[in-house]
Parts: sequence; structure tokens; C-alpha cells
Amino acid sequence: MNAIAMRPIAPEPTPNALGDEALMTRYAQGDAQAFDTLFERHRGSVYAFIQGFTPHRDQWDDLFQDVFIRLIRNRKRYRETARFTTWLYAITRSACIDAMRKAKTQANLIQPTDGDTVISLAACAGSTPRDAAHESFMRERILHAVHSLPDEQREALMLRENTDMTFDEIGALLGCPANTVKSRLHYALSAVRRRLIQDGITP
Amino acid sequence: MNEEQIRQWMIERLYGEISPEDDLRLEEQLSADDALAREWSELLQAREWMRSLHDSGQAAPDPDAIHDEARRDLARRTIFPARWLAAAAVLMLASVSAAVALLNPTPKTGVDGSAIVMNAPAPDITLRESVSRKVKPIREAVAVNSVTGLLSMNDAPEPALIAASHGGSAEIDASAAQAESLFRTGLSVYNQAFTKVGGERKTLLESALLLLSDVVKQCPGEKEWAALAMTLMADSYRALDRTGDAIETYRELIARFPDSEITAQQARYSLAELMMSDEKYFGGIAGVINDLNASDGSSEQFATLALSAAGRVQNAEPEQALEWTRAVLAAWPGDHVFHQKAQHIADDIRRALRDRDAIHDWLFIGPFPDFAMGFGELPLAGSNSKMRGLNGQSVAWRPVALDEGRLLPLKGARIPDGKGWTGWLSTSVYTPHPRMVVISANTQAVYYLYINGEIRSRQRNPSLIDPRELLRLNQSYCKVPLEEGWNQITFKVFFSTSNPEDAIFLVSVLDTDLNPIPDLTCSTEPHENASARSTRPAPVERR
Repeated sequence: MNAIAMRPIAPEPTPNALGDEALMTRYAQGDAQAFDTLFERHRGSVYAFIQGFTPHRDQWDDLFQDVFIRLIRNRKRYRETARFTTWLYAITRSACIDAMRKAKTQANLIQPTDGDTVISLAACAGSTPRDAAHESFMRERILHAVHSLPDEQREALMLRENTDMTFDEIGALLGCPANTVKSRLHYALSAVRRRLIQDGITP
Repeated sequence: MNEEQIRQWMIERLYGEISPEDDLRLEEQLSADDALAREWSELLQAREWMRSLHDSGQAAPDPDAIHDEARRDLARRTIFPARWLAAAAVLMLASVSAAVALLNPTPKTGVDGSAIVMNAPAPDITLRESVSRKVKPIREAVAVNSVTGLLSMNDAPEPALIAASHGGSAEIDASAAQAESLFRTGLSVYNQAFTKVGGERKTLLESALLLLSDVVKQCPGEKEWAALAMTLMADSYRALDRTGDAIETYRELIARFPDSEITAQQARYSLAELMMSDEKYFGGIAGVINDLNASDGSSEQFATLALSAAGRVQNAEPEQALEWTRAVLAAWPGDHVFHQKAQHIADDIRRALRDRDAIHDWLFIGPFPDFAMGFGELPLAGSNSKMRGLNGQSVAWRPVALDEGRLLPLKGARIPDGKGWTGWLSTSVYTPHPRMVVISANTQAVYYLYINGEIRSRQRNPSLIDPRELLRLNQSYCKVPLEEGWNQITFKVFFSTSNPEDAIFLVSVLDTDLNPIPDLTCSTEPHENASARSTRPAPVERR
């Protein structure tokens, strides 16, 4: 009788050990835990992108939820050949643009102004209330400077700052060459700095 | 080397995508060119600021609704028919309502479970994509679960035990127990709503509204429960995007329970937040903020709200905005961020008010050659011929109004290109009593200021000033006394350029805190008014 060679069974990788693309494929096939891992991995950067992209802070939470619900709805359309981050931020960007377009068409929309700044002390992790207040103040000024950028510079900056996408990938997403992305980043960073200096923030 | 290429390398290096060869080339360029090196360090600084945005970033929400939806979507597409959830929702509502009916000792006036289901809109299983929770937690009898974000009751004895332990009249105990029971049921349905999205959430919120309104209607004497119920009702309306109903409910809550520190105060803030977010209702915010200033003016929450509102209305209603910034300035020390922010807004507003309230009508004589700045005497009416204008012509005092509200009218003055010029401007200000004022001048001119013929401010001799400095817009202040009655204010000005666009001359008379003074009158033709004590200024004296 021939001995049957037993092939060792490789342990099933845990979701945490998998790449984004594999996780998304798993979720598309019905693994809910894979979604939780993806969500945990990307929620911070998606939220940060939204905060920088849209000045309407009352829309941030809605948009955030909208992005992931769009991802859930479109899970079957995802193909592992595409990089997950690119796909996720295509969805995020599209949700943000939709929301801003919608906001612009609402006659009663309140446009944000300088004074719109809401200082959220709770959002800061400073060691003392004063540090927290300072951090919060700085954060609001920086966000304000980012919001004052032209759309194309703002989205290039937010994509590069909040994701691990390369210039080429950002260019592909925005429909422009990588060199244009770099130029936009240069202008954006210079403008942010200029704005902050104007606001009295010193290096 | 192409500068565009160097800038692209800078960005590549900044984000770690530069090749070693390009990195070397970039380093060579930076070492050789100070301007580029400065540009690089500025980019580094900007990037550092952007990074600090990450470090202090607000935590992303983790709504259960997303995880629920992820699982529900899997389940819906693989196992359950879509209508299953609709049926479950109806069943759940029916069971909740039945429980209420059992607990309610007066069924005729209580909550009828079937009525809830009948009155509630049909559950819509088509999930809307984004309905977020925009409600404030109530603090007293309910608590917020830090993990789920749901509201829950703080531990409390069962209603029956309350009745037994009070020892008061049975009627009162029954009412308290009934109110609590109704409230608990309403709260349970309210919380359930936030585990759902779309039509399911809407249905549950509308059901919660019915249950909570019963607390208010049936147990009006149970003030605490009624106030809490109204808070939740208003929050439900908000979540349903029924802003008008939410505002009305908050207002009713404040009117009925004005002394409830927690609920009424929180309602005021919720009301303000709603009004801030909806321009349709924004007009009513002043009353709410003023109420909050009186009751909670030293809190962080008030400062945040007041500054936000001040920033919003600073252009349309600067005086109102200034009042709110003053409240914050008074409540917070100078080194606090609230104080600094308030100061920043207040300065902006004051600047705008100064420009708005600037003196626009002047008597003017000029332009004279620039050397006339050195003359010690003021030209008097009737003696104009002594002093010739820039082109040798005789000039006389004449009334002028500022062009575009800010520029001295120089059209037709034929000032030779590149030449500076001098002129005198005069007006009179009436004050009903003696006072110290601040004369604020926003101008590029070098000037001497005379009050009632006495020199009060003398800037440096223009020939000693760097011409580049002269081109900078000056905002200067001079504190001077005014006598009761009419006071003559005269400026001798020197402008270093002939460009009419540089002839900005905005002068305001402010109080010593740099605020506008409402009871001042300004005129180029001072006259006796109702105040018999007012005096006409003496003609400008020659020196």
C-alpha cells in the first residue's frame, strides 16, 4: 500500500495579515470580518481626507458614512487587479464632489467664513488644556488654509498627505500627468504656508 | 537648469519619491542658490504644518451603522428576502408598543400599540445611504454608551420600587412611575433608531416621537421626565431633518422649564447649533446667544458659539458681532485661545467699522508742492493767493468727498508723475461734553494733526523717511482731547506719489477703546445746534 503523503495545511491567514486587495476580495465574497479590518485600517485617513476636502464640517460624518456605504454597495464591482487605495479614494473623492455639488445648489447653504471656525478642544490630545487649545487653534488655521486652496490643489494635497498613493496613482485618479500633480502640490504647500503666515502663525 | 524641474524634485524629495541621482542634483542646486534653498525650507515648514494636522486629527467616527450595513448587505444578498427586515421592524414596534400598553395603568389615555404601527409610516427597506446622528446626549437620567454611542438609562430602580419607596400619595407615585415607564420605552425606540439607517430609522424615530409626546401630554406634572422627553423629541426631529419642529420643541422646552440647568441650557445650545446650521432660522440666533451669555457666559461652549456666530455676522451686523466678542474677551484671560480669537475678530470688525464710519466730507486745499510740508502756517480762507498750487495756479479751500469712500479726489489736479504733494484737510466734530478721543488715520500720507489749531501729532520730516516706507499703508492713532461743542480737526498731509490710487485717507474719531462714538456729529460747516452750549470753532490760526 502506498503511503499517502500528507501535505501540511497552511494556516488560514488572519485578516490583519492580509493586504487590502485580498481583504476586499474576501469581503466581496462574504467575509464580514474582512470589512471590519479594512474599515479600521482606512477610516482615519478617509476621515482626514474628507476634513481637508470639504469645508462644510456638518457634512463630515455623513460623508464618511456615505463613503463606506458606497464601498459596501459596490463591493462586487471591485477587482483585485486594481489597487484598493486607488479604488477607495476614487469613491471618497466622488462622494465629496457629489456632496459639494449638492451643497452649492442649495440656496440656503451657509458658506463657511473665517468665523465659521469651531474650536473643538475635545479633538485634541494636548497635555494641558492650554496645549490642547493651542493645538486646536493651529489645526483650525491649517484646515482653513487648506480649504482656501483651489479644488485641484486641495485634492492633490489631501490625497498625497492622507494616503500612500504615488504621484502616478494620484495623477491617474485625477486624470492628469504626475508632473502636474507635483506642481499642484508645490503651489498648494506654498499657498498654505503663505496663508498661515498671513494669519499670524509663525514657524 | 529649469526651475520647474527643480521644484518637482523638491516635491519628490519632500514625499520620499526622489531618485538618488536627482537628490544629488537637487542638493547641488540648493547649495548654489539661496532663493531656492529658502523655498525648500519653506516647503519643509509647510509640510511640517500639514503633518501636525495628522497628529492632532479629530478621530474618525466608528458608527455601528456602517458595520451593521456591511453585514446586512451580505445577508440581504445571500440569505434573506428583502421584506424580512420590514416584517421584523413592524413586529418589533408592535411588541414594544404592547409592552407600553401593559405598563400603562390608564389604557384609554396611554399608548396603543396598534395605533403606533398604524400611524407610523410603512417601513422602507430601501436603505438610505447617509443619515447621521446629529443629536446631543441628555446628561442627567440618561447616559451615552462610550462604545456604541447609544443613549441608555442610568441605573434606576424599577417603577414599582419607586412607587413603594416614595411614601407620598399614590397618585403622585403612579404618575412618576408612568412617566418613567413611558420615557424608558420612548428612549428604547429612539436608541433602536440609531442602529438603523434610511426608512427603518425614520419609522423608529417617528414611533419614538409618539411615545415621548405621551410623556409630555400624560405626565405634565413630572417636569424632569417631561423635559427629558422633550429633549429627545427635539433631537428626533433633528435626526428626521424636521428643523422647524425641532426648533419649536426646543423653544417650548426652554419656555416650560427655564430653570432646568441641564435640559434648558442644553436646549439653548442645541437651538443655537440648529440656527447656525440653517440660514432659514439664523435670524433668531441673537436672542439665544444673548440668553446664553446671561446664564452661561463664562463657559467654553458659550465662547465657541459666540465666536462662531460673531465670525458669521461680522460683515452684516458688526455691532452685534462686536458685542459677542466683548463677552468672550471679558470672560477669558488674554493668553487664552478664546481671548486671542475674539481679539482677532474684534480687530477685524473695528477696522471695518472705522472704514465705514470714517469721515468722508472734508474741506481741502491743495495740492501744493511737496516742500510746502515744511511750511509752518495754515492757509486761511481769503489768503489763498499767498500760496500757489503745484502748477503755479492759485488754489482755495473747497469741500471734497472721498472717491470710492476712501480716496482723496485728485482727478484734474494734474500732479506731475513721480512728484509728491502736500495739502490741508479740515473738518469739525461736535461733542456734547468734553472727552478724550482717538483719531484713527488709515493713510499712506505723512501728516501733522491739529485740533482747534493746536498741533497734536507730528510725524517725521518726510525727507528723512525711506520712500519705500512712505508707500506702506499706515494705520495710526492719536489720543486727543475734544472740548465741549465744535472742534476743528485739521490735517496737513504729504503724499509721496502722484498716483491717485495711493491717496487713501480714512480718518475716524473713536473712543479710547477704539469703538465708534454714536453721539459725535461731524460737519464741514459747523453750526449751532439744539445744544445752546455748542461753540463754533475759531478760524484756523496762522502760525
